[in-house]
Amino acid sequence: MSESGREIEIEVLRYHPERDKEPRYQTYLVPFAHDTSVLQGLQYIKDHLDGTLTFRWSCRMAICGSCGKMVNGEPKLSCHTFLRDYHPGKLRVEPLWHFPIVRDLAVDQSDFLQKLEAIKPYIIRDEEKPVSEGVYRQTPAQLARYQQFSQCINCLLCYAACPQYGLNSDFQGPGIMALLHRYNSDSRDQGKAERMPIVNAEEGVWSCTLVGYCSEVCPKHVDPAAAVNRNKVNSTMDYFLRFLSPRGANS
Amino acid sequence: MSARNTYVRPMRGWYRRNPRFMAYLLREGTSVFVALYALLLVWGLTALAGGAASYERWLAFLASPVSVLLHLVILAAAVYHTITWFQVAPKATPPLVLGTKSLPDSAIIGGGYAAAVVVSLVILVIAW
Repeated sequence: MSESGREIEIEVLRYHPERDKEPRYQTYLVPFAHDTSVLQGLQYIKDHLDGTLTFRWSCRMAICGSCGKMVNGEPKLSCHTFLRDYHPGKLRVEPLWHFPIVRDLAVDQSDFLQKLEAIKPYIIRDEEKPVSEGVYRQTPAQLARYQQFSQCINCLLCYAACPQYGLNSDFQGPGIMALLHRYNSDSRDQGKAERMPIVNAEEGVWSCTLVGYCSEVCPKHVDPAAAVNRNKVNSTMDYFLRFLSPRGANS
Repeated sequence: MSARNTYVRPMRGWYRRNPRFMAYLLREGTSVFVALYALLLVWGLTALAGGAASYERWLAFLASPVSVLLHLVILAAAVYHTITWFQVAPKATPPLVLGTKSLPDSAIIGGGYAAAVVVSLVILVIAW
């Protein structure tokens, strides 16, 4: 790992829920090579310098969405961010902004998980057809309507980029709205009417002021800001179309 | 929520944490100047309704150095507002699908810029 002989200072936020009243920072000197990620830097600290450092990770290849951290004030997947890009400076690693800290770099995601459950992130059918009738077919154009939004890996970087969520965590937030939009835009889904009350609420799309940073930090190019703001149009239509049809825009 | 003894970080001074947040506040802040200009025009209309003398007073104000300076500031704010407005426009535009490909964001932004320039030129020619 240290064949290049280079070292970098990593300043890590530490918080012990039973001993600390508030977080503090601790600096470690970590050797690194050209391909050492920030996550590997943290793993080096845990393995060789300080076994008490707590952080989440799993796949190491930017697909599981577990290892999001603030790296020098920017939300990043730590497996997808490299120490070489910060050398010869130092880097500061903090837990994702806007979430309560459980310990060190691990945040409490329960708020997101509860919201995720509430939007029913699965295909809803009025009536399921039996397996014998085959699969639900889709054209490439129908797939294109939601495909980008289906790339979300629930990494929460967009929430760390959203000051509106930080100021009021009742806001559904960018990731949830992107996932909701993914199912509402799916030609196989018939659950839009069940999800629209979440979109229409003040804490739905209307708490968004289009800061737009969520889409910039998304490692999967989901563009959650587009999902939220296109649903402002959908929400407005949903409101006005009710005057034309008793079942609203969902009929 | 869980019963864990979590630490919630304060949001005080959040806009200073990232230059992106400052740019956002600046974008939103320019709308104040756009509103200010609208008020200036409303004042002009009421002055017109109030007769020749009051209209002349309004015109005299427009020609004053304070007004010229104010107009330059408002123009700068309006230009910044226009640019940033069209930069975020693709986020709110429903996907325009041509064949199987969506119209790229750059086309929506570029189209907005072009429309703003053309409309500005037309107004300039009419007002000249």
